[in-house]
Amino acid sequence: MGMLASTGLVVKLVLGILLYFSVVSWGIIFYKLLQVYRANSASQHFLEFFWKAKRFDAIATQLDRFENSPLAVLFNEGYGELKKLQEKVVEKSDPSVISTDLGGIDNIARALRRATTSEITRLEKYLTFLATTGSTAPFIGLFGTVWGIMTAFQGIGQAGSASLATVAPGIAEALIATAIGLVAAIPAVMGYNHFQQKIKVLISEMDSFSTELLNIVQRNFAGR
Amino acid sequence: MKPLRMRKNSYPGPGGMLACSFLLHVALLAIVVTFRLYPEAHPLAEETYYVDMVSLPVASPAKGTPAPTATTQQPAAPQAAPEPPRPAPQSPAPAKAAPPASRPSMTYPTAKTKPTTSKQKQVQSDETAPTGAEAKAFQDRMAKLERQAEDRRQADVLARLRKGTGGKKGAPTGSGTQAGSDYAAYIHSRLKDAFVDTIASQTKSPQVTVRLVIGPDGRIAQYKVENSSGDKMFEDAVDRAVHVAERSFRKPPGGTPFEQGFVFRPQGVGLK
Repeated sequence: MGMLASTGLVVKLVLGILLYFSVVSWGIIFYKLLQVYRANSASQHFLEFFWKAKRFDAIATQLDRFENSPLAVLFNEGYGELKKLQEKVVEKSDPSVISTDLGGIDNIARALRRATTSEITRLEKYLTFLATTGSTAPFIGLFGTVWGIMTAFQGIGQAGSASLATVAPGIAEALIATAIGLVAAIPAVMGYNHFQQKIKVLISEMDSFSTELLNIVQRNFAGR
Repeated sequence: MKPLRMRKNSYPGPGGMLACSFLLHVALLAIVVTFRLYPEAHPLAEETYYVDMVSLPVASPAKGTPAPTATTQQPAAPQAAPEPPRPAPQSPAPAKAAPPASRPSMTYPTAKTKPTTSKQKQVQSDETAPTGAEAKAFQDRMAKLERQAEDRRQADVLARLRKGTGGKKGAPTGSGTQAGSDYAAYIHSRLKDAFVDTIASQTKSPQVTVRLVIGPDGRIAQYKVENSSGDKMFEDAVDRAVHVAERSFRKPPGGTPFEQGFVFRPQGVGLK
């Protein structure tokens, strides 16, 4: 701790910034771990329930059980759009037929696309901070080190001694900034890559589910 | 249909996780500080051995004295000082018995480097042979006295070594008034040596004045920075130097606490 106390103002400022980056990064990592884990788990349960269920009505009444699943959100949006179309058709003629001529399926597809985009945005929220931390923290630390070494060399020049014992403590103090920068950056980069991969899997699942849902709607509700 | 995302999540949000992260960092910092997991800034200083020329055992009592003259007949060394006594073999008794001018052999113990060897004794005997039986008796007495003095001196040196100078070579054993055993100079030299290894500064001409009180056990009882130019790095270097030097401090003479101010500058250490 004596090493930290003896560093200059700029190095202390750099260390403060890096500490802020580290605290926020870890906060995001914890939040995302929980969010992605729950999204995956709830999606698996929702898919099982979806394929077992016979009617959309039955699924719609149970959606609160899968509140963390992006697939449940997609179904909710798609089913909502389907209901609206059905209500519109009832007013006109046959309630069991959705006319594709009027763009009924396209409406549902658009609703699913919108819901997918919204879920991707929600899942990727805060990940940019992890990317920023991972790419900039080492450079911020390096800046602190360069500044610290400059200051230390000035002091050494004035002391008039160039022995290793004189040079080493100043450089060691300055290197703390690089070390803290790496400590902040490494988990951020690892977390970013991990969450990107998990979110990619979820996006793929959402795309597949959207396609399946549209197929079912077209098979059972659209006019031939 | 009611959008699913309008309700709140059942798990902690980003704010809660941020608080968790903050607590985690505080806990990590506490662990690092508690278990001292950070690298120590203090370099390991090689131990310096000091040789106190005053208490250095010599082969002959007369050998360490500068340029003894033939006529110098030193009395027995003062017993008050604990420094190596110089038990002069030329005790008053043989001096009285010695003939005034025709006995050059009177001075041989201070002139010869190894007076106790039998060969040299033989030489001496040869030199003094013309003086007859009286001279031979005198030679025998001288040799006996020399042996006694040598035995006494060796016993004294042995006793002093056993008493506590073992392990720390050259530590001052005197009262502080004899040359080479001044405790302030001793502490000063230790600080100077340690400071060479720890010196570092950020400002142009830093200066720190510290007052040290060294307890009877040889440890620093009080360490006070009396004056500082405000260079934190230099203060830290002084602090390290004092604590590195403390490892090699001996107990102050007389078992009384020792107090002294020291002025640290980039050029070196001075007494205040």
